[in-house]
Amino acid sequence: MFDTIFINLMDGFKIILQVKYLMYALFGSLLGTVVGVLPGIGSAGALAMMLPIILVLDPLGSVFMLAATYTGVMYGGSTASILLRVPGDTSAVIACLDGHEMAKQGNAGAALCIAAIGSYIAGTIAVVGLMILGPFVADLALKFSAPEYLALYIFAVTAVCSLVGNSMVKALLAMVFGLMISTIGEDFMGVKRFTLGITELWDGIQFLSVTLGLFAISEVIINSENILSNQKREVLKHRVFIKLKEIIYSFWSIIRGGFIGFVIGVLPGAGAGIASFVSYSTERQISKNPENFGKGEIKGVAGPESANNAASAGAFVPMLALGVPGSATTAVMLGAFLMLDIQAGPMLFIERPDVVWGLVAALYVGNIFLLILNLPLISLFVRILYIPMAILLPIITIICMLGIYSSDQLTLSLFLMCLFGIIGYFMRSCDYPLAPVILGVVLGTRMEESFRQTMIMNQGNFFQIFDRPIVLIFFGLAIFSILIPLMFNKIKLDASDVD
Amino acid sequence: MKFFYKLFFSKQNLLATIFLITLIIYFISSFGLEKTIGEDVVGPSSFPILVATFGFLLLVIYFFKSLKFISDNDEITFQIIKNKFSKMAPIFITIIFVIMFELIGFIFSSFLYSFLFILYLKKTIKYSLIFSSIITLCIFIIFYYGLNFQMPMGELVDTDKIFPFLEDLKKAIY
Repeated sequence: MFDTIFINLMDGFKIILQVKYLMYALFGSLLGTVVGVLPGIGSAGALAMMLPIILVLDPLGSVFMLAATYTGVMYGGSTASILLRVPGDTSAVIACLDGHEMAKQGNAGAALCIAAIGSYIAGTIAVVGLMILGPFVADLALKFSAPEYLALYIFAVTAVCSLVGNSMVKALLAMVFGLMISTIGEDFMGVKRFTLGITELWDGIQFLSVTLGLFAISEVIINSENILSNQKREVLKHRVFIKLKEIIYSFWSIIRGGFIGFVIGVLPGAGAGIASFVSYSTERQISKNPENFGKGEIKGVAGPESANNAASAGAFVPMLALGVPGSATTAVMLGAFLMLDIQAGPMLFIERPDVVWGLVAALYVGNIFLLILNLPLISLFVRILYIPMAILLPIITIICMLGIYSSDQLTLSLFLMCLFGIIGYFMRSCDYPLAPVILGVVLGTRMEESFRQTMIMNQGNFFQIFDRPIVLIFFGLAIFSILIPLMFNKIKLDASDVD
Repeated sequence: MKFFYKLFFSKQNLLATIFLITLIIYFISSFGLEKTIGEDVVGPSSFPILVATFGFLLLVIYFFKSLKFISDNDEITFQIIKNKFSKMAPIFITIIFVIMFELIGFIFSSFLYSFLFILYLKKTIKYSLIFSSIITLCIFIIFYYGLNFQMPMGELVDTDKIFPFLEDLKKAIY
């Protein structure tokens, strides 16, 4: 089996290593990184923007360029999160927590480096996984139905809420707030809920309005408050490169992130966002110093950044093997395949091995380009932090507004961004974590859909889902993730009592 | 009375109280949602009711826990509210920007916004003018020409008519 995989992969490399295709991949990586930095476009939007370009290329070149763009966007998203606390996509939200804290401490270069290195290593893991485990994992993913997804979402929510911030109750309340937001608009049966008679709310509240409001706009308010109260911004000398010991320290986080990301990425609908959240909670749970998370812990960047990159490669498994797009991005990709007259599905491996193995090789080459392109660019990116805050703050707001406006052309979404900016500011003042709100918004709709399907499947008997082994595993992990921090707190309290 | 005031309207718990009120409205509204076929098992209101119930449970735990520190709670005063809102000027400038965004178009509104914002942050008029022009121009070129974004050109003030070459240039590029 491995011989065949190796031969096929070599054939794939033979194709991609032609100068023409390398140029396509390079262009895709570069464009993806630039677009990824801007909020509001996202990977699906970036690929959609490429569609007119790929029509003039040959099919293989188009596929390679799309694959490279995808990996570029996944990396680019973290740059704005780390430097400016402006997450452009769900998967980049987690990078705000420790990545931005590192930037505040003068370690922006190290954070960006570890994100690039982690993305490269995890991307490689995922590509290997795609080759070897692809068909097997795709089969496993097919065993996931509504109850399994519900259990996965509950696990993701509890794992994150139990670990983010100082109070689990506050984190869970923030998550409930996110779930409430997710129920606004039409449900999947077309029933309009909590729209207050506003037609523009039928499609619900846009994810970007919530995320950019909570994170970016609240940051703008806090920073301008600091400027006005004459709190001098410490002009730190930012380290551009990472130390070898930091790479060694984060190595296993990257590997774990790679595996977590790949497995979650394979599940249709789960996506890179959940992968990064789960990876973050895993890292914090197994860390010897969990209290450092949220304060600029490099593992809090390495794990999630690796996971989101691996998840983007993992998402190709159901698309290639089954012809099932697991995310909006792979749906656009599948559309591009159709435009190029390439039929995704089990027969693709037999009929067009050049596409499959060329794509695998392109993902790998795309990862190498990302590393080559981004490591030298880090010194340039870090310079953003030297721009005076008085200039940087309006730039952040205008870019956020354009990102939101470009996606739905609604002024209401911009007003909502302002509203969530105010809410985010007060939440931060009262020590409520913001990440669970985003998790609630992202998972709410899917969680509700799985919940309702599960209830219908079991004719109203919720507890019947515990007959399923995968559900039991996820619920076990969810309970474990709640109990572990509680136990640690108890041990700490006991220790302080003894002192 | 003082006890309840300290519990619900202290500086530490005010946000939780506002959330409690929102949750009550949300919970009550859930019962008024349209009914669908199969409602006897699960319907559009089931998940919101579940979420709200979970929220109430969490708030009970939250307020119960905060009873321990009730004596340390700071009472909310008019001065505190006034102070908080006086720090929110950037958001009010942003709201003005949002209102003007479609009315006078991106170029004028973003120039106005960045000018007011930089001026608010205690910079000189000259400094604000120079940098707001640079910011507006750079962002416009990157997004409008570089990324082919659709930008509002203004309903009251039509930027396209004032600067017709902007669109011509775009047509020439694409």
